[in-house]
Amino acid sequence: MRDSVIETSDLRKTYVMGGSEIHALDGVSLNVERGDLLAITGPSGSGKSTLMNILGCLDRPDDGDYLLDGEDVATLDDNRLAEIRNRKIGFVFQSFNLLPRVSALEQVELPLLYGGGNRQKRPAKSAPAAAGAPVGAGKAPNELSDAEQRAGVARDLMLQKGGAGWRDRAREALIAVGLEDRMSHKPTELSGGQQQRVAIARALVTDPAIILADEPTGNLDSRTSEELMALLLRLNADRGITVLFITHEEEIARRTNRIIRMRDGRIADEERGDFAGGESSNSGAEAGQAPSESSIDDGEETPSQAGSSPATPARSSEVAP
Amino acid sequence: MNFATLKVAISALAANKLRTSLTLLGMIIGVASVTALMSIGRGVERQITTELQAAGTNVLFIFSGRPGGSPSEEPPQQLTYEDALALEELTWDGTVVGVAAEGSSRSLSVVAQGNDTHVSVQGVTASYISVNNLTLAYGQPISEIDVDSRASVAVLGSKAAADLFPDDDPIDQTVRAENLRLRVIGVLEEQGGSGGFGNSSDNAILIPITTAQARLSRWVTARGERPVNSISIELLDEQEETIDAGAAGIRQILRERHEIPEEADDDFIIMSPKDLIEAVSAALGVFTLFLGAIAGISLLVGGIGIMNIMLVSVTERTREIGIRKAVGAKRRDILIQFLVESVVVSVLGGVLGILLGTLISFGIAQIPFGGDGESLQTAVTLDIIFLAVSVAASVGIFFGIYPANRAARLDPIQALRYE
Ligand SMILES: Nc1ncnc2c1ncn2[C@@H]1O[C@H](COP(=O)(O)OP(=O)(O)OP(=O)(O)O)[C@@H](O)[C@H]1O
Ligand SMILES: [Mg+2]
Repeated sequence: MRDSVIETSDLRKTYVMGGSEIHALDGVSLNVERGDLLAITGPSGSGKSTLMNILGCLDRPDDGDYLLDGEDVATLDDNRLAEIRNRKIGFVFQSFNLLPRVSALEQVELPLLYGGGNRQKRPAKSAPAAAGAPVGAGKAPNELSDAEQRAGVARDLMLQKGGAGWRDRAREALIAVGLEDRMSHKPTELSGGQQQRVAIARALVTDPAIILADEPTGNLDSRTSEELMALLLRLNADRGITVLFITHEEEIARRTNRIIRMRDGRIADEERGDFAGGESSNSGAEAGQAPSESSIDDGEETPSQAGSSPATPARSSEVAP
Repeated sequence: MNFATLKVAISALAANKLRTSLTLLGMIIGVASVTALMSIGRGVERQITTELQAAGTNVLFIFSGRPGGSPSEEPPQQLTYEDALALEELTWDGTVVGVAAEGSSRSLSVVAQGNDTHVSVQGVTASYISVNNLTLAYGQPISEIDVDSRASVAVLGSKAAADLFPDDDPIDQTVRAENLRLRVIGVLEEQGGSGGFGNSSDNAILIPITTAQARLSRWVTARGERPVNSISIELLDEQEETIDAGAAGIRQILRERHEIPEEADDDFIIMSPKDLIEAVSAALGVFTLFLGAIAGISLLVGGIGIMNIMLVSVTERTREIGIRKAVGAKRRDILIQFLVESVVVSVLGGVLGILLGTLISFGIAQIPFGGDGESLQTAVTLDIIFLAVSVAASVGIFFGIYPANRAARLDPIQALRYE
């Protein structure tokens, strides 16, 4: 059984502009498994950003269901959505969206500042493992190595100490994106690529299940884009974080294992496989189908990972910049 | 709220120094004017109650008049020297320790050694000085013998003494008022202010009441008694029971003497300084608050300034709000962030305003005004400071809540798209 982190069925979003209706999303059903690496492409105005914003709980669909980590997002109030954005999702924008006049370190601390409840997250995950609960029981920790679990516990301890713990976590995230020597720089003192790295560190710092990136390299030159994409791919491969990104560049899209092509608010086509290795399977027909309800019963904070992550099993606790 | 929120608020304010200072200025002016005006009110309040207290709180004053000002009756009878003498009876059981009367007084021009001045020449009983808590700077008080013998002696108020005898020792000197030649036997200490009840004794000359009756005002009432302006009764202490017992005794004697029928009202008023102090300070307290409220209008303007600037700030920072929401800020977080910002401005303005207001109030106290070169007393009391700070904070919350709420309700995606 595959573990879905995102399950949508028939998502719709319609804008009314001057009397005419624009169907930005016209029935999108999508199933994303934990650890997936997924690219969304499609012509301008096809609804990619609209979909991404809904997946990121920044926006709500007009119609359709969205289960995030087994939770029905439509039923949640604004506060719960804010919590979900804080804990489960890291969002990376095309325009970086950093706070003006704020140092990189403080940018990255920001989600921690708002995530008071965050402190519970790690212990909840590692407790069953520590108690020797069977991995197959569906409550296994997120495939953490012993070292990483220890790091997690240490982090929790730091978190309980408050601000100092946040600072260490933020620093750790900045090191992970290769900005260890730019921590006190403000956005105006950073290059575009560095700003986007800060944004990625900010997305990363709460240890989210998913990173959503809306044209993360859209404002960057190709060399910098290349480096940033490599960073995102590594986060997926090394940490098992589910990564969804929008891109206009076929070459970049083909570095994933799944490509969704959108047109006129619908998923027009979907490709799966290891593109880098050449193998590919076109499964466009499947795209329109609603996901099976059976896979969403496990509606808890920490659904099972069940050892089915497509990511590399060997994990280092840090991504080398 | 935590320290981080405060830090964010302060750095946001620091990012726009000029704008923040102008908004602050509005608050500072508002709070300063509240503080300064209220300090004047409080100063006047203090001054008057201190003077009233100086007259002694164990003294009852009796005036001719109708309590509660009952209308359409014949005018009340005058209090008389004979009334005062009859009240002496109350000293027998010890609750009353002294009875003093003042009457047959006239405002006259007096001359001594070529100096002249205009003073109130007051006929008083021997006990007047002690009952009214006056003290002699030097010399002798008016004695019973002086009263009995209608002696032509005088005790000078401090100002009268200084005016008539700027260089010399006035004791045993002669002062002339109309056809009177008076030998100075004593000088009162300066009493200050307006002198509690009635006139200040500073610019008065006290003479035996019998002398005054014989030489200044020979007028007698219909019953052939000699009228007085007021009678003061010194009680053993200022206990509630003593005051009540004293007042009851006074009423009984005076009603009998004035032949007031059982059902009729008194034709005299008994006033205790305690009542008076309470009534006066209550009235002055309202006056102080009223001054504060007038100044509060400028505080209102300051508050509107805060609201205005916060609304601008929310609009300017729409994108920032979107970013914060995108990474997990809840409505409450945004609300508190902006609220803290407006409260920081208002409280900082409040504190600076109190400092400025205190300076102004201090300055006002230095400016002489009126004929005698005295200046208005001012007092910045703790309750004014507390009031000013809490009103300032409330202004910050009240005028900050709307902009903050507007920020908190922004839709994240729209806020992020805002250019
Ligand atoms: N707030 C809005 N009001 C009205 N119409 C909107 C709004 N947001 C998006 N749309 C419309 O919805 C459609 C989908 O927009 P969306 O931003 O999702 O496209 P996109 O695929 O991300 O395009 P691009 O590649 O250019 O970023 C567009 O036709 C757009 O005009
Ligand atoms: Mg887009």
